[in-house]
Amino acid sequence: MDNIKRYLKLYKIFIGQQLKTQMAYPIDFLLGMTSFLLTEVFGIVFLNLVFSNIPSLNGYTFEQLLFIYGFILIPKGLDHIFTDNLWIMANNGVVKGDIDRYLTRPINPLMHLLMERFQLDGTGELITGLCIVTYASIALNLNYNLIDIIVLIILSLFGALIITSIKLIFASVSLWTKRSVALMNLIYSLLEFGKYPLSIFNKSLQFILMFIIPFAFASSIPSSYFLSENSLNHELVIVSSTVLVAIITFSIGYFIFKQGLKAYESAGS
Amino acid sequence: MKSLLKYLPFYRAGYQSFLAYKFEVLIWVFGDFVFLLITYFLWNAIYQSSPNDVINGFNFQEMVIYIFIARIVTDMIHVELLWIIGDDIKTGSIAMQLIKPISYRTRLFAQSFGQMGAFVSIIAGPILIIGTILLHYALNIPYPSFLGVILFIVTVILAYFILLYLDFILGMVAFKTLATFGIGNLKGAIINFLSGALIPLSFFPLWAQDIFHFLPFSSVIYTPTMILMGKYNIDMAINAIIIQIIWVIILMLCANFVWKKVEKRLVVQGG
Repeated sequence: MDNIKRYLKLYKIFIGQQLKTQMAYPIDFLLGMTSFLLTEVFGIVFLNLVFSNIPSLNGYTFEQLLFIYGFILIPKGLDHIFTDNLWIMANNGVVKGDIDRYLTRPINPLMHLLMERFQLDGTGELITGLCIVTYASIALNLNYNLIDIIVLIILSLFGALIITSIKLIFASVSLWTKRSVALMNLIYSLLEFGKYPLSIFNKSLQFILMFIIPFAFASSIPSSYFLSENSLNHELVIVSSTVLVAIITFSIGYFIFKQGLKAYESAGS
Repeated sequence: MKSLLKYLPFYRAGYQSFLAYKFEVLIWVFGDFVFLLITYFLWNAIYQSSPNDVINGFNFQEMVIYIFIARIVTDMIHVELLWIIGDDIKTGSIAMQLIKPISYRTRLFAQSFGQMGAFVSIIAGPILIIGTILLHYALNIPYPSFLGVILFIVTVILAYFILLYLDFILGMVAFKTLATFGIGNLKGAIINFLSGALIPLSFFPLWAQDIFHFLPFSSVIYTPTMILMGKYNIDMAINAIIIQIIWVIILMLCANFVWKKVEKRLVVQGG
């Protein structure tokens, strides 16, 4: 308990420092947010233009597609806000010797790494995602009871953990190779697949997105909980598989990170 | 002509910087591949859900070719001027650049031409040629006409100059706001959508098409792509090229104006 309190106190200090540096260029920040919003708005206009020609897409209505499109932004935004430092580590953290700092301080190296950066830009994704999901839910006449809202929060958090874990795996590669940002970027770009229903892709892509780089569990699979009438059994499967996949990918990511730190130590001495 | 020769090393530097980052280029190409894959399956689902085979003048096959060519054109006319200027401002090396006996602007342009030259000769050119031959044999799609190819090259070059001057102007604005990152992303988002890189402009409502027709963005990707696909007749092509030329001139004049202002302001600061 004391430990958690200590971490929270530290995190508050870290965040305070971060906000100052991020607000140093306010115009840049505002324009960046606007451009992000615009990109998502354009994505929706694209779907809208397409839907003026077809009644439904693979059985999905415009609003259902909108829901999936917006849902993925929630875990993506959460991940972006809290774990952006993984990009820095993959880019030049190892070369600059940031890792030495994490290893010599009396807190968990991964916690230190993640806490050190608080990326305000991610709130843009999070808020946009919440707005789109809210709008789509109203348009689809979805009724949320308390359990649904708790499930939405759980699925979003574990979806974010899946994205973070996959980033962690490929950021940790830099502990051996010094830089891995290009590789990480490549894998991260697969998240774009999550904006659309899994069923529009062919079988091999579906397999990759479910079992190799399991981004489907951060987007269309959790969305299906809300979009279709499911039996209780089916709902349990959706929630538990998302949680399970998140825990497995995180375990793999943390294991590789630890191994990487060992390799890093031996290389550095 | 001779005075331009002294910028040749900058052209070469641009060309070689492209070669130096082989892995980054590979990742970039992979990113395009992911984009094309997603778009392919998306359009596949769209056409399967559609009661008509032809949507807004495109059948499925043409749509795939459109997306493919539009993507290559997007990469061909990719300009990084804004980032370079932003870097020069942030690191302060702009001061050193300006006291050298060369024009900063011409140097930037030469460097950009080098990057484009490398991309076209190493990646885009071969892909376009091999792609055209493959499509011809696999799907029996006719080769583009000789005139079509010539007009395509002309429109791509004009499109490149439109974006080059636009980037230069935005870079000069960055002198005042120091917001290259935000401006760059905003520009990217707008161009990506209004240029027809994601969806042919014929999908937009007519009133929007009329507006886009006179904006510089539609002519940077939509125009060359439609010309290479043989979807424009000669009148439409000439019309589109005239609009491109007008935009190049307008943006060039703006760039000259802004550059003079900035240069003066910098001289005052330095004195």
